[in-house]
Amino acid sequence: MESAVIFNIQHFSIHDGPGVRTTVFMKGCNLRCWWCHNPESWEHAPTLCFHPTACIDCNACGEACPQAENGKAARFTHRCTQCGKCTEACYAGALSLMGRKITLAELMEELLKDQSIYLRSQGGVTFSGGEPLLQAPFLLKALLLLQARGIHTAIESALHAPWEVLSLLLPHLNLIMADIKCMDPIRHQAHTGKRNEQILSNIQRLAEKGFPLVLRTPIIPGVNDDAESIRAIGTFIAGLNPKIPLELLPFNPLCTEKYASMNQSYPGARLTPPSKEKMDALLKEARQLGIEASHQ
Amino acid sequence: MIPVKRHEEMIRELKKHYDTLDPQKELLEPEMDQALQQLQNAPSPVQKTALMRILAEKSRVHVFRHFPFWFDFSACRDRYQWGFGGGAHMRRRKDAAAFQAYANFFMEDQERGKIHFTNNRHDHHALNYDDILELGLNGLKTRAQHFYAACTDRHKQLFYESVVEGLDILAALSCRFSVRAMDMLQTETDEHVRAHLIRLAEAAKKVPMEPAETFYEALSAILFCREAVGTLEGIGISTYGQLDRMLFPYYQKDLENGRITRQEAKDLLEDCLIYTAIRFNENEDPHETSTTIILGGCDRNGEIVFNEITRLVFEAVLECRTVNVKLDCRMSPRHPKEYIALACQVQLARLPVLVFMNDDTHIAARVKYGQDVRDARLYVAGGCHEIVLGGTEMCSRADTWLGLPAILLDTLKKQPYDSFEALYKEAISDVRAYHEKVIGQKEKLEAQWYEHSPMPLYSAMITGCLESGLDLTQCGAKYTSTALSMVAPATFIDSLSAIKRLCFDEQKYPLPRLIEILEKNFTGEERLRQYIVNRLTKYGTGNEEADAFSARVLHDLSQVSGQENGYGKKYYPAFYAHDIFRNLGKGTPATPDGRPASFPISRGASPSEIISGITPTDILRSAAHYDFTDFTDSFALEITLPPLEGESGLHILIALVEEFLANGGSTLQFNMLDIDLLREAQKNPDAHRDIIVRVCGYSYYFVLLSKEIQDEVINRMVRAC
Repeated sequence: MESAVIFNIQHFSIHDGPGVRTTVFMKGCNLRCWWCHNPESWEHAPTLCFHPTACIDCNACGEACPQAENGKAARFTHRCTQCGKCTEACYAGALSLMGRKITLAELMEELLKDQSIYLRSQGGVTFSGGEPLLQAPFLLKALLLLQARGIHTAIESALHAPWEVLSLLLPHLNLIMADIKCMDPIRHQAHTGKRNEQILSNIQRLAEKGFPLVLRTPIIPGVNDDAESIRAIGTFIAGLNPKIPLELLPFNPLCTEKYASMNQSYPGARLTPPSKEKMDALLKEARQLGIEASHQ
Repeated sequence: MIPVKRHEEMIRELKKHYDTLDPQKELLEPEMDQALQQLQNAPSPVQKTALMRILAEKSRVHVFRHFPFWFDFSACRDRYQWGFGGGAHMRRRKDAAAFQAYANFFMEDQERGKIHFTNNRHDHHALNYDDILELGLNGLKTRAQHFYAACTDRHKQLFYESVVEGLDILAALSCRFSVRAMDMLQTETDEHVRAHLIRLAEAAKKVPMEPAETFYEALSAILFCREAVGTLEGIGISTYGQLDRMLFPYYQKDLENGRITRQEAKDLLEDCLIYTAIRFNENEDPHETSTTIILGGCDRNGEIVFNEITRLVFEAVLECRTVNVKLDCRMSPRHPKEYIALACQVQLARLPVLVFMNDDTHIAARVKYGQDVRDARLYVAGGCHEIVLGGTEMCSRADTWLGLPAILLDTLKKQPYDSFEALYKEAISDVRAYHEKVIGQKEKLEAQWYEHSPMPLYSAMITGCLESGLDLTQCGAKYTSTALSMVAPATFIDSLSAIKRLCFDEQKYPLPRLIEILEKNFTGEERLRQYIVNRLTKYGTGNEEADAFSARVLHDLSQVSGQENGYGKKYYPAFYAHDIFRNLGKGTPATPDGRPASFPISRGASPSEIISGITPTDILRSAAHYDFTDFTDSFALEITLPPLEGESGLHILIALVEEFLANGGSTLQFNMLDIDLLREAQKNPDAHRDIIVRVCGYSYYFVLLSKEIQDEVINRMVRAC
């Protein structure tokens, strides 16, 4: 049976492409950007999360945990096998296992619930992640079914994947939203774990084909929050096609709690978000290169 | 045409007048009491017209220098009242004891959340503005005299006499404004003000007595009758009616004859909005409304209404940014997309004034309950959502609400039940029995209405009374209806589902044990409560199994009403409720759906307040399973949206409205997430568990974020504004 590993299906999603959409968050990522807002998306395997604000101290988790010691659940210890028994017992919803298998048929049933509103709002379905291209065979089947029903499809991807994989999907996609984090491959590797040649080459080939693209640059302190970095990105885009929109997204540390729920600390917790003045200045740099840039 | 773009001076003048308003109660009330004393043995219509004459003749009339309409007379009416005032004096003097008896009868039930009632039984009326514009008071008087001439019944003759006298009083009152304007002309030197006074003096001695001929006359006649009839009769008339349908022919004729420009018509509509906002808005809950304007919909023959007046009203609201006049937009799939888009633009502008009403549902519901489709097509919102057929129906209610959850709790206590079906049947039967009990008490009260305060003037302005020779309060109108609104279908349905699952299907908790847990307000049973809230299926959440059960319960509830009383008044099944769900919730103990004691019960047609994570599309998908034509009133869905902006926001809103129409919804209101709501959620997190905010790359429940991050989200919105 065809299945994928996902960690969320968000209905009425209005920020991941045009109109009303359903966003499928696919699990597993081949980058490790240290500022990432979706750390639960990294591993292909399920990830246990604990939200203390929802906990009612009933200790049902301790009773359900096969690895419990002295009645205390083994979560976030080496004994925890991420079996999920504690999440089944947690009626308050404080514990959740991010990540589950879903068959193509199950996914389609979920996606088609909102079919009429996609068509009315010029919306559709977005596959995000994690990195959706890591589950490309499943993705292709889902896209084919959606396309057959006239539903607009999009992916949010880092595009760190072989061109051949991407190009097989293209005829069944309407939009790609991708990041350009920085132009320098060494720096890119230092901050994300991977060099960026393949990403930039994919973007270039998509642009040459005239494929609908939205590019995004998260403005991260110490990584790319300087005029030079933005000029380099802007120059690259201007060389491809200055009509490709570029969105500058200011860094913020609001995902600190999410990391905490996974018993991790967020490396960006103490960083200050770029000021509005800084964002304006960077935007000005980008626009001077003649590209269609905007910021939040 | 005189320049009417004088809003600033007008606003100053209106504010000053209403800030220092003197209703002249000390002068007028003793005089009315004296008249009642002298006429104590006279028939009630004679008493009523005597009081109306005092109010119309002795009140101070006020003509504004910068406001184009006339209707302001003291008449013992306070600033924030829409109607009532001195006209309610006779009723107040006579029915206080009867109401107290009613209140005493239900006091204990009110404390337990079974019922909520007010002494506001005389609101939500709609005049036959079409007759006022087309026939004028003189035409109505001729009609009354025609019936009078053929009438031999002394009681009916008395009624016709009171109608004629009422119409004469109203006409004389309008003329007093004309005279007042002429007085002011003696000394007024400002050229623009003089032009305005001349226009007013001429119009006030012509309309509403004669048929209106111009846009200005038509709008003036509507405003004058709404204010003056409400005040003289002592009732609430909360709607200006279908303004676009009624005013468009006058506007078109004025344009053809060069009597008006588009801008001048818009200015007059803006003046009307500004007056309403200034008089009623301050110190009021912004969600409550004094006045509705009905837009779109159709005419008596079913022809779609959407015209230049519709556009002008939207533009006027956007320019003035007033929030007191509510725009009830009647819509159908046959209306042009431009209409839906214009309404959605008002919503995007964060003006909480819009109500979307599904014509196909509302008209079908009225026809289902036996009303003529040609009358049903002229329905208006007589208050917030309360539906009334403009010009043919007297539909007074919104004074008594029944709390379904508390009624269900009483049913549970009558255990044992050997099956869920047995319990279910008893629950529905108990709702019916409580309905009948309340109707019995209400009838005692309303049977005295004619003696306490007949309404000759209003009777002349509703089809049926002149034909039948009966006052409105004697059910003379073509339709006389009322409703006891049932409140909290979602809490009721979710509670029944939980009982079925816990006590009968899983048999984990015998009913007596569950009752004990509820009586202790889930103390020591928080895990069970969380299980019920988070793991069991719920009404209105897009779950097919729950939707099928919900559809059954809603239909069965619709059958508990519909009774006719002895003299032709019908009780219809209804679910209108605005903030009453909070009041009823306060008294309602813990319910089987996991709702703690005192927490709000569910509102309108919306899912329960205690569950989270429901998207607008879930709610609309569920709505498609429910038959809203079973209910004659607005069964309102309230949908909270994240902040939407620009063209993409507009597409999303339009799509949601179209989906609502296609799914057979009843009435829809959007609540755009705003900073005030988030601040309120910080103070009272339990009541706002469903708010989801876009934190950054992800969305999350607002109340589960730390204070620091909540503040950051709010600050981000402050910056964005």
